Amino acid sequence: MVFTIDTLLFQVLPYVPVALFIIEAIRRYRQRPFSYSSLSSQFLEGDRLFIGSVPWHYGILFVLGGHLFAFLFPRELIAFGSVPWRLLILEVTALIGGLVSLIGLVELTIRRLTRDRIRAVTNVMDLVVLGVLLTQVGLGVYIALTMRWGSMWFATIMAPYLKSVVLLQPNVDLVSVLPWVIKLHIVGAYVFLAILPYSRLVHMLVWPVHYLFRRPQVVIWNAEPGSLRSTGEPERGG
Amino acid sequence: MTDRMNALLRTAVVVGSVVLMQGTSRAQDAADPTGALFEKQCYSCHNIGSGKKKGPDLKGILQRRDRAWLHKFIASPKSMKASGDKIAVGLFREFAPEEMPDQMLTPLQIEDFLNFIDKVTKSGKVFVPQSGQLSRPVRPGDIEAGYAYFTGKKKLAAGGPACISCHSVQGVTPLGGGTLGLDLTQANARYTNIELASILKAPAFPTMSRLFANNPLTDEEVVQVFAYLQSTKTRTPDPGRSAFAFVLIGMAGTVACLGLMNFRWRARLRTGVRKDFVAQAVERHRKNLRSADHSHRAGRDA
Amino acid sequence: MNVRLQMAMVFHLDKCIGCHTCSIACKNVWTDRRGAEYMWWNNVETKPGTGYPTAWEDQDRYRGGWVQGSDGKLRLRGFSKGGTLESIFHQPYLPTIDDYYEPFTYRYQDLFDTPEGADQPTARPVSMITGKPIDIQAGPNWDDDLGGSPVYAENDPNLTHVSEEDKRLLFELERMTFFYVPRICNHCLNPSCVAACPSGAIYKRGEDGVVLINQEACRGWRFCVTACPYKKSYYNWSTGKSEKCILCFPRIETGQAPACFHSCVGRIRYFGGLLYDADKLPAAASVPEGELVDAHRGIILNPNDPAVVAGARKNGLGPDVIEACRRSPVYQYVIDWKLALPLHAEFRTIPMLFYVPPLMPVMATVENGAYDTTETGLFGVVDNMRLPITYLARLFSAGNEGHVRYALKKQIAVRAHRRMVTVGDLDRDAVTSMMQEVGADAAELDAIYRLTSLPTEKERYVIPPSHREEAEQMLKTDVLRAKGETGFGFLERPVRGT
Repeated sequence: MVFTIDTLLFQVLPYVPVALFIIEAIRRYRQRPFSYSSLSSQFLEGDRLFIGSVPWHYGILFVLGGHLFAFLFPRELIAFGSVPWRLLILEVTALIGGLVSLIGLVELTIRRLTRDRIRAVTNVMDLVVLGVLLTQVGLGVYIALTMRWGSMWFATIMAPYLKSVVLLQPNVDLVSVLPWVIKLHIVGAYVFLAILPYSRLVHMLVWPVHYLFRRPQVVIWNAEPGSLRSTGEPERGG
Repeated sequence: MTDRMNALLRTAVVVGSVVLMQGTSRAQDAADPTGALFEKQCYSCHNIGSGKKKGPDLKGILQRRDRAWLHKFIASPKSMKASGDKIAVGLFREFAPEEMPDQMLTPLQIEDFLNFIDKVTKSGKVFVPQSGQLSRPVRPGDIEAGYAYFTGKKKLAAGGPACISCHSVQGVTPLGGGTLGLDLTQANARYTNIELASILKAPAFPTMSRLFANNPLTDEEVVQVFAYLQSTKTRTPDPGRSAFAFVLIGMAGTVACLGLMNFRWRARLRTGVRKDFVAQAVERHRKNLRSADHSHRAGRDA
Repeated sequence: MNVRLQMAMVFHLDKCIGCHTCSIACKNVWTDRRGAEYMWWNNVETKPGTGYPTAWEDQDRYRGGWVQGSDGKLRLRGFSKGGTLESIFHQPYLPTIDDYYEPFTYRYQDLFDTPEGADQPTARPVSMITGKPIDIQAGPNWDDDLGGSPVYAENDPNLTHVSEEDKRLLFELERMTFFYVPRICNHCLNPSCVAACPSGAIYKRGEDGVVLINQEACRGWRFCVTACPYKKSYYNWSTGKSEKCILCFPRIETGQAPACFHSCVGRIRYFGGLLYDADKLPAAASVPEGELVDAHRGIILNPNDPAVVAGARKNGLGPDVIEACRRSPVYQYVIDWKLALPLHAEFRTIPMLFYVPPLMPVMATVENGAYDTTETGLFGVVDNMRLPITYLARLFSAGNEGHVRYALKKQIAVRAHRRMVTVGDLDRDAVTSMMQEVGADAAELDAIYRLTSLPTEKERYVIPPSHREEAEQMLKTDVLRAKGETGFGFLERPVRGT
């Protein structure tokens, strides 16, 4: 086997961020639970946040969901896209998702860099996160526009590659022939995964879906109710 | 629409028949064991009588070059170049960046190849590879079937991906096809019919060869996709227009999405409650000042 | 019957002089930190006024508290559970720091460092968020004593039910009046902040009903800020966590009154335990608005009732705790005397902080340019107060004027009775008829007088023992480890994550 830059990037590299992500996210959750927060800045500035945050989050959730779906169900996706008008709907909605998230992200970046109050709560890692995300989403939209149809070739090329990575038998051949823009997008995804546990991005791991299933009130006893204060004698006087 | 389709269909049938006829007349070339080996080892870079590919056309090579030189060159082109042989250096320069790799061939095999090339040259024909031959003539209905395979509406039997994933053909869908690969509208202008058929059967491009390595098109599929591609020969590719439409629809949808979000949370608090109050009070004050000023003037006028 | 203990409070507004000592005590102990500068877990507001944050009572804007659906069930006014997740990326009804105020300090050093010149050196105000010079727009008590009334007092959400004529009179310069409302977290029995927290980080302590935010579980989704109709949950913009009044639990666990109580110079605050029936929740909050105060009282149990005592013992409340509840000043004000009323019961959170509505500042009327405080009309003044009774009813009894009128009349009756006893210039029959009207005998009025005017500290703060020694023993964790960790504060420094 010839060892090339592709081997490094797509065969060895994937396992570093995955390992980092799993180990560090758990370690941070257990050892530094206080540091898990959305770190929302809405309290300092709300109007511009709405314009940025809502499109960004909904757009990126939709797009990431699309990637995940294409990875898990490539056959079904190809079957769905086999009729031209359905393929167009698929691609146009994906593009809209990408554009919506890109607009939101650009707005969030401008807001973070120009508002004094927001700059007061910005650290270096926040800027790294913004840089990686801007690169990723920008590349993604560029790819969606110029290398069509992403949904189809993702299902035929990327899905088997990712599957091979998951099955610990990475098949570099599949991705090594792709244009460098797409390769950069893949590498960007690994970088994203690697910085996730070290950044504010951890908030996505604690998205409170359990809220839907809990009772409205929470009462916590320091000890079993009924087992306490059974011995105290009445205080007299006072 | 149907008239146009029929016209295209007729064209394709005629073209296809021609290819088929050519194919049958020369089938013996590739059927020859040396011919089959030539197809496997040499044809990806060399033609015999059909022009330059990645390397020179080999027609009449024995008339042009010394047989001993050819033996030496074919066995190890790189050492020839390294030795400073003028012809070798010239060839490498002409076909750069392609470099002919050293061949693991015995002198006997090289001799067989040279004889085979000579035979084809002398017959006055061109070499047609086995894969460049269609299994049957194109028939009406093949275009539509090919279109279905191209868009993925009909699945390829061996499970290969649909062409539209990466390739476009003018008018294949309202927004065109894929753009990761080439626009195939005039694929026949770029490749000969034989090459096109060969590509369909066993693509030699890195991406495609990997994707179709374990799931090649069946002979029947090759004929039908071939027929469809032939039928698009007369169209003029205009990828800019379909790309523009794609972007435009995407942007319109984006604006609609943003509008929808704004509407969904229209009751949100905006500038801030206190700022609103201050602004209102200032406005009230201004109004009072204006009306006071007005009545003052009115009083003075009276 | 599920008997639980709740630490409850009474603020006697007739005694509050609006000095903000409570706020400062709290600030010094708990919120003098980065990100918490703007927080006033205890604040004092002038009424009429919009308070802090601006117009916090206006739930059409802020969507706090509960509403009763057409099916009779309570739901959060702000968001359903699905709506919470839907609005998590930008919370539509969250007040921003401009609705509180941008915390500021001054560049005092400039006073010393400025080179000699023609002008006096000045200390410019700088934002405590950005560190840059700002023009101060607001402060925590910007509308104190009716300051900036055209902006603040006139926008008081409680004035919506007051007639235009009364409003005009209210803001007539000669009639202008105000009183103070100190506010802390109400440690509600049906807290909407707990119900709204997506992370489940907010909880009510079973032992004493203190509502707390687990700082390690809080993820800064900020729904508690919106859900609390009293806006007593605050978002720390620096740490990315929400914080709120903790009722100084380290103090009450050791038998001391919370800092704001302890420091109150007007001695307006009373602190004690109440027993309540947890089985009646949330039914007690699911009644028509006018009946809310009665339902509120109905959930509180009589610590002298043998059945209640048995229930309390069953739930592990010791005899000393029950005894403390019997001496609770809160029980006397709220249940025995019905003087103290919950603030904005219509938010349906069942707050455990009760207010004795103010009589003194609103009683005097102006006759021919002179204040008339003679009480000759006796109860007549109640309906001729400078503050319309509708206004007070909006604040303290969910619009039910009867409760406020009763509380005010009873306070007047106490005064009349005491005046008769000490000065003797009032007609005994008139006073007796007043006493009959409020259904109180001389002993009760004397008791009210005594607890209002002459209470000792031990009478004002009756804190049931927490028995931390037992709580520690019962913890399922290693006691020795708990001992080793106690007193070392945060194991992880409370700094902003990256």
